[in-house]
Amino acid sequence: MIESSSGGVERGALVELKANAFPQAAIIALKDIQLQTALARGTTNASNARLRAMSEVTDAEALRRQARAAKLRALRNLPALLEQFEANITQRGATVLWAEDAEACNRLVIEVARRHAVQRIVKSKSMATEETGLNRALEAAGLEVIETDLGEYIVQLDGDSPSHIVMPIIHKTREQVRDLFVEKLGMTPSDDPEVLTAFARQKLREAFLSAQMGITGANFLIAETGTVAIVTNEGNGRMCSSLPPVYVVIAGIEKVVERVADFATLVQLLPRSATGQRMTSYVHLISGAAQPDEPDGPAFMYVILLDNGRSCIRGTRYAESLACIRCGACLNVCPVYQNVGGHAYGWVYSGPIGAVITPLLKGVANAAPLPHASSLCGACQAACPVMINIPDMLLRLRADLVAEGEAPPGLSAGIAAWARLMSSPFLYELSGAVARLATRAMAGSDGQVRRLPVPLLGNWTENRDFPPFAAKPFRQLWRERQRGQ
Amino acid sequence: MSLETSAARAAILARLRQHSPAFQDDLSAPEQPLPVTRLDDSESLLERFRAEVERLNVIFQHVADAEGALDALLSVVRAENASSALLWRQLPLHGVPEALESIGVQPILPQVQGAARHDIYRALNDVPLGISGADAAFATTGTLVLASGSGQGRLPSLLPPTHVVLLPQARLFARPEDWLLAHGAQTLQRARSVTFVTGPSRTGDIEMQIILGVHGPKRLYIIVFD
Repeated sequence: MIESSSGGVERGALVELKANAFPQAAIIALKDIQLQTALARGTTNASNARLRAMSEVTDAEALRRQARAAKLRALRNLPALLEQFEANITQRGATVLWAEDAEACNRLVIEVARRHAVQRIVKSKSMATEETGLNRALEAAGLEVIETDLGEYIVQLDGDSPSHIVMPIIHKTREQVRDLFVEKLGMTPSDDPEVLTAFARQKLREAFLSAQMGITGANFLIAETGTVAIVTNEGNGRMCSSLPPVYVVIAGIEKVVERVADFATLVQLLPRSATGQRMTSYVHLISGAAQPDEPDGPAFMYVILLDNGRSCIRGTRYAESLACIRCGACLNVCPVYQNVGGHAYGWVYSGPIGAVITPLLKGVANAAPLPHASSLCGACQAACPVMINIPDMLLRLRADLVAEGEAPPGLSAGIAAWARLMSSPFLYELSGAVARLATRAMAGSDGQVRRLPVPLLGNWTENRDFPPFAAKPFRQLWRERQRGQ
Repeated sequence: MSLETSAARAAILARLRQHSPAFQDDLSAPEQPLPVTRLDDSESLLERFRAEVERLNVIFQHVADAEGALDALLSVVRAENASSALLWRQLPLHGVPEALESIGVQPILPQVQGAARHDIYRALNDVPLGISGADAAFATTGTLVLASGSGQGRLPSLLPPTHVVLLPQARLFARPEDWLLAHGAQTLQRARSVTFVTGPSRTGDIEMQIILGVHGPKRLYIIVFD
């Protein structure tokens, strides 16, 4: 029996925007020991794998520039390339549809399903469909939809949402997966990932064999040939796009690249940056519905090109954020993501790139804490295979927030006081002396300040320790050195 | 409701044409893109390919000629205890169906287009083995290229838990980009489905522990012949 996801679990959480609750969600995440263990393991492994894979290429910096130029060139020529892609794939029997927003996109999928009398749908992991809340819309229309990526399947069974672009259940332990399979699917208990995976394979195989429609996202659209490229390891994307008679692709308009040569670079930097693989197990390139003389393959193919705010971003100074190839490298290296995980960001996209994209797609006032959820350390930009200047965009978003009157309380007064302090040598030294005495008096036995008094950063130390000021300030050390002491 | 989206199309394209982003970077397309993978000129492509695929748990064999390839194939079929196998009609090796029959293995050339495909899938789901050729292979990544066509279906490499690939050595390229730049566009225009297969199906979703054979084949054999 196939378990559908419509089992009474509230799945609205998938698209509901909760980014403004970031500070509270982050605190809960910081205190979740299981989550902390899982995040440390997942992000460290993935980062190390990326570093290994990028260290063996011809010239990592030059390749990143090449990949970046390919994506930016495509963004610049986007309207012409979309038309070229459409013309090429239409010629080979696919139907291209355009969706202005999430709702229009979901409506089109439902309409295609009705047209082909579809009841059961198998779906491969797709961030764009997380963004549109497609599953919920399909279920509301009475259709059965089954996520087939192992992680996404687990998330769907649990009424949960993915917390990483590439590793959707980075936040779950094997014991949690075991309990879920036992409870929802009646599995004989085991927490061996091998057994759990074999069990899911059998359940999902049943779905693949009987589904009338397959849905996937797209990692790239190649305009030159009219090709949809999907990159997977499990092979579920290939199942979804090969077995059911109807195949539907949902792709953000920013996925298009100009030429096969551009794809050749990008398709190698994506897996190296995401999981440290030289190539994922499967890269599937689909350029239309199956031809009549082929023994198998989908008889119908639809490609839905989704805008949902992207065309507006392209006209702004944030256009570069559309170059993202969703590898997740910036999440793995980010000190904020490493500590709070993906769910705290309150929407589909998390980590540094999520802190940029969510405010842009959903309105900066609706995701006000996210541009501040960064130490601006720059690790994200250094890891990004297309060198997106995330720190710069986070700063600009902070400026936008101030311009929209969304500045943190006391910001202007605080900056004015800081300016006064920094421009007077006497006040500077005096404040340093006060801070030195006060923090050293407050420090605990381990030399760390547990809690600063409330008006002075009390909230800040609620989840952090504060190192006391040094016994001797630099200026004094310097004076002593000058005196030859 | 309808599938008419020309208004959305016009609106999206109009918005895109209104502003073009002003990127500061040099965006000219390189004449010859920089290759991704280092490769020593003296390195044997076949040895590199072998090293790459073996790292991915592929069972690799190199045999001298077509006869050797047929023998190698039959020993895999025997070792897997297969009583039937899904295969391409257009294999790069002659006489495979006959050879299979001679050892009591039923060769199946699945045909589902225009048929009751769900019934056929069910009937084929327990076939233990799939046999296909490959249109090309990449040494530096250990990748096989499987293009669909009239005699080259998707099912033999998709449904069975074991997949055996027959690869003529002349189809081995150094890097993915070498093949993509020389034959990519033309192949994508010809074949509706082109799959790069790099090792067996795998997942690391549960606590990042690598498990093979999630949806696609669990075991992958590659037989290279001259």
